[in-house]
Amino acid sequence: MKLSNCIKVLMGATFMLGCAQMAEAKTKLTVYTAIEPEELHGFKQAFEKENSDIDLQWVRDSTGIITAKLLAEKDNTKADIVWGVAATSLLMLKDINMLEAYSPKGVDSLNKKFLDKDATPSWVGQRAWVASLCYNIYEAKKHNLPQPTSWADLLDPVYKGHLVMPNPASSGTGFLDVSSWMQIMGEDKAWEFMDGLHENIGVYTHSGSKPCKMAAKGEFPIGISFAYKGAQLKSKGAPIEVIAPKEGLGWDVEAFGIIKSSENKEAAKRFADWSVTKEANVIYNKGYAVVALDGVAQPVKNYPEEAMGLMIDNDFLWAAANRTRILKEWETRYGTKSEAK
Amino acid sequence: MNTATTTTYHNHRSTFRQRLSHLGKEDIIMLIALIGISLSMLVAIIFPLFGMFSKSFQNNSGDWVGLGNFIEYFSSPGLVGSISNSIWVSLLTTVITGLAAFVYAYALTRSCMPGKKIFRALSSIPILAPSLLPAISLVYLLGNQGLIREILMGESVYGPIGIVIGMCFYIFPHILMIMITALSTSDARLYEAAEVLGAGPVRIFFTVTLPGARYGLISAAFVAFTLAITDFGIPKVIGGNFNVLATDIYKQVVGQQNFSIGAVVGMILLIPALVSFAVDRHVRKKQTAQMSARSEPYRPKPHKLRDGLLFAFCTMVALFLLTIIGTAAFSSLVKFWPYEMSLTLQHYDFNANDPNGWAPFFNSLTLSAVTAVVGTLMIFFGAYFVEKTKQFALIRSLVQVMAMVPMAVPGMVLGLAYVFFFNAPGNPLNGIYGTMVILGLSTIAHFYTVSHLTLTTALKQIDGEFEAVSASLKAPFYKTVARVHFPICLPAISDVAIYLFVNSMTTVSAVVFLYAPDTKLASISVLNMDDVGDQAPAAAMAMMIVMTSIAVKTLHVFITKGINARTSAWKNASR
Amino acid sequence: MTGMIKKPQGSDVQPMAYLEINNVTKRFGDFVALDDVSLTVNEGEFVCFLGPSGCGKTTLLRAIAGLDFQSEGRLVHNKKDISHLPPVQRDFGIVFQSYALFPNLTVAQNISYGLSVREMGRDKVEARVRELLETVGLQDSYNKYPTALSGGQQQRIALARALANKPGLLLLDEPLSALDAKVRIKLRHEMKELQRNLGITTIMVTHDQEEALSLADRIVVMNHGIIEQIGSPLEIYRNPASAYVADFIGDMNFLDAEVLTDNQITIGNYTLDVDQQVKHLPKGEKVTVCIRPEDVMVRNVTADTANVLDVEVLDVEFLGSFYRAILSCHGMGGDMEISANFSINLMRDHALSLGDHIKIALPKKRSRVFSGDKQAR
Repeated sequence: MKLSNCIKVLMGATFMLGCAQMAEAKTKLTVYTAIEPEELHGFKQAFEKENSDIDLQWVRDSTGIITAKLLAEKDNTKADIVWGVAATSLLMLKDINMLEAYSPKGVDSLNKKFLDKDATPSWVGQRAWVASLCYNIYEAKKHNLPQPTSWADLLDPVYKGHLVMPNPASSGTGFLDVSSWMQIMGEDKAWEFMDGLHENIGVYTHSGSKPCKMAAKGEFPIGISFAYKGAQLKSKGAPIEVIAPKEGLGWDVEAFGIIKSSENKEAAKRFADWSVTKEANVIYNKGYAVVALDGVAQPVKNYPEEAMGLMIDNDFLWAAANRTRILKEWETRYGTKSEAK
Repeated sequence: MNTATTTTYHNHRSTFRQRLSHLGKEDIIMLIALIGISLSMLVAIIFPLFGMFSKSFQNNSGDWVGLGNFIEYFSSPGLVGSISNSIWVSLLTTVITGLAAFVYAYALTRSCMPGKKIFRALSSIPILAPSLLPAISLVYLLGNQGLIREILMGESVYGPIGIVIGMCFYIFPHILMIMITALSTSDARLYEAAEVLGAGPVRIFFTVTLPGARYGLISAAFVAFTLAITDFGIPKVIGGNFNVLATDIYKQVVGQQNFSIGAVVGMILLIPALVSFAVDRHVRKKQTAQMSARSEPYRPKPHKLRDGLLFAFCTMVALFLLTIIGTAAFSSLVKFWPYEMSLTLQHYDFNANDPNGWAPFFNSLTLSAVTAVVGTLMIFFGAYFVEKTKQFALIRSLVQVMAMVPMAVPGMVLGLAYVFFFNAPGNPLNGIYGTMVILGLSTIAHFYTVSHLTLTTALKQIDGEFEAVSASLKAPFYKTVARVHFPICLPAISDVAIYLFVNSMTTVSAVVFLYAPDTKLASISVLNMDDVGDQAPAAAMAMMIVMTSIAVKTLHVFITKGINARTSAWKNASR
Repeated sequence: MTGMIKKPQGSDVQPMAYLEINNVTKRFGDFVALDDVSLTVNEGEFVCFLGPSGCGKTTLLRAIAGLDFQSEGRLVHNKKDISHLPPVQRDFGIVFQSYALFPNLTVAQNISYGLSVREMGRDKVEARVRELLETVGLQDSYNKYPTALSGGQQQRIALARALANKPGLLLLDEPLSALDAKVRIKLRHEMKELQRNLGITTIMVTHDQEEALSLADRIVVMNHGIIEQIGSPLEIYRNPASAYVADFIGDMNFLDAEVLTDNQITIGNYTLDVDQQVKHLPKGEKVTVCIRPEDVMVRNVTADTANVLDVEVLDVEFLGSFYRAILSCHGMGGDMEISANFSINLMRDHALSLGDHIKIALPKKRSRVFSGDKQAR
């Protein structure tokens, strides 16, 4: 009697173990990404619906951190694919030979602007995100803050302590702001501009979307962020305007590239293939107005109309090559704001 | 000469062999257990710290650079500024919390004010929450859209103000416990003597109360300072651009992947912890010597004015604690602060707010449960072998010393040390990197000392001859452990289990460097959500942690009652 | 040492060496706790290890139990070499000063702790527990917890537990020290009776000479890790083998003296006869004369009595059944003092008061002489 019970329990346990192992049999694909967390769930669901044998494991952090992590980990990295990370960063990874060149099926139909120029691209763009200001109408009225229309407006002392922007060392958005100012104004002028801007900044944030979220909550009335976040929050009912400063807008491409040292290249390639499909591009378009596959993009609600035209002629190669130097200088100048006081 | 040496060598070896061959079955079990315990402690505590130590003298590619990293660190003004920032903020926190906790403890031990039990219970609230929680609450209270921001008179909460207030909340219960102990070990006879000699209450306070508690106060001050200077959650959330050591280490390691400088900051963070550890040890010895077996506990007499004032003070402190936790709870339910203050549960829908959804919460539950069970058993057996075995003195003292080390190692430093040690390509234990195992190991190691001391104290109170008696009765030692030591220590064991559970739920510092996407914890999720500006969901997750801790604590109260009911049969049996 | 074997009481057979302790040495670092100790315990014997704390008696007991291993030497128990066996494999029961009763187990569970239900069966275990409880007179305590019992009762339970396995050897480590004086004396008698009835070989460690004298068949007096003397209580009391033993057991006067002839010594101006005890010592050798206060002759001392001293009564202390007098003997050089017992009758008959000069005698049969002066003891 007792023995048979034991056997039953053992059989049950074996069965459960077996089930667990079947679940384990899925390929775990480790994806390093900087895409906004709330979007990731949708991508995972859409991809895994058709690829049930692959389990996407997101390692999500801000662009700067993902980049630094990859640069430090090099060949030891746990990443199989870098996905949804600034092209500037992927260029740096390509430079140190971490990326595997691969042409995803259907890559030819993508807009060439979004692709690595090599015959077999090492990185493939997905969509572009564009700098913007988030301006809280309600708080602005309370504090008598005029609506800025240009970057230069932000130097007005009236904004002192009311601005918030992402730290370019950790945030991709922060870096594209800085690199675009340099491309618009020239490097020396840009530093001058930032010196002034620094006087008005309340805090620097870790992530690129946080300034807009803070603006939406009125914590700081004006956030230097990116257009998609502003549009999304406005659609949710936040009392903000999404402003495209008239001098021009920095932007970067979210792109993906397969890691050379990956042991799951087959799965990585399948994810890469999926990432250029129309289906994926439709999801990209949910937030971002500019996507790699032409003809897919639909206007995004509350997205600043003029933004498209204001996108600067971004020199990714220059940005990637100078990224380390610029960030070091930035850290020296503003990294310890409290020290200056 | 040569022959002589060889002979002695042979002699030694033969006696050693002899001894080995004379070990009984039980001795061998004990020896294996002791070796196992000391090896795990070496791996979990000593080797990683050594790894960090050596890393601080290497560049990021692993080449020896001598003091190069230290020179680089000390020559960058920004980073060194963090040292002075850290020090003055921690000092201020220490003074404020120290005073508040002293008065609070004084009220609990030396007055007849009403509601002592409730005040005591309320004072432990902060322990149940991750240190990120007070910072998040403070944003809602004192931030630019804060409920009561006016009290800052235009000053920004982002920076030293926010850090200090948050720290006061987080550190308060820890040093309150030390203060209560210090104040409740005073000898009533001294007070009687002072009164008989005609000393007034003020004189008695300065000549009897303060000197009697001074060691406890010193110890509390150092603990407060160490906690303040090593905490990372509060400055991370509310520090703004005000840099401190703990956020530096995070920025250097996570933000810039600059492990060498991270190791340097880690070494610097070890200093206050080591000093406070040494002071604490020294002071503890004095404290026990001060209290003789003949001392009589002090029983306060009612005094209207004093009791009234103390009651008012304690109410204020308790209100502060409740406000912080209440604000977190409230903000997690508000739809869109500050524009749409209607209540909703949407922020608790973590699947919509975090790439890992609810998984981190369940990861935390798993980690806490496993840590509580496995950790408690491991620490119990460690304490048992140290305390109750007679042989293998060398290994036992080694284990005892190693058990004290984690007390002096801040969580962040331990976590970083784990990165260096376990992620090293040549390490055979590399496999546990990025798994739940490393999180559990680091958590157990991080909270080892207090648990070890609790269980050692409990075991010390058990008659040392039980082992001899059971051996004479032909019962193996493990039978006696199971039938006698374990049941007797059950209250202490359950305390340790709860301590480990709650701390595993709330800790951020050690695990922040060690989690992988599928082992992310609830506390890390709070950190990440706050990082991207999703403060309401962050507050919601923090509240999930608090509620879990409360639930477990409540369960613990009932379990303790059950244990007491069972043990009272033999504990207080009247003749 | 092994020569001093005494037959167990009430047995005609040749005593058997039940436990042999051969050249046992125990070192703790540089400290020598036991220095080459040898001893034989016979079957059924009650042996007491007596000595001050730190003399090595407990160390020796723990070596016998295997709780602390000796550094050198051999132990043979019932013809089996147990020198290196762990305690579990030795055959003894033990009672500690603290009783070491498991507080969370009932009296019955404590006593049956070493009894295997699997081997004996539940009924037999219970019967054995009841039998033991009856032996120690605590039948009613079966289901009680130790904390519900008095110290003396706990001690009996500890004894019952130690006897449960019917061990060959009963080890008692200061078993009575934690009890009040009255309970101690009562339990002492009970223990002796129990030991005699069971005939179990017993070794007890104690620092209480009275306990040792009243309980033991043989006493082993220890000091600084060596055995000073082994003998029956009477031997030890009457014929201490050393000044140390003389001092440790009972009250004793120590008088500095010098050897004069083969059977005479001098103390100051006095010349005293002693037995043949100083025969082997050279003339002028410093010696110590020991005599117990109760052996000092105070009645019927005449000029003809041997070894007469003139003394002054310095102090008289009433001790209930007799008086203890402190006497000063000026002729002995310095201010040598001698204690003597005065009976109630003597005090009454002679109406002695302080400052009186009287004559006393030190009977040579009761005097013991040891070489060396008393500082060297």
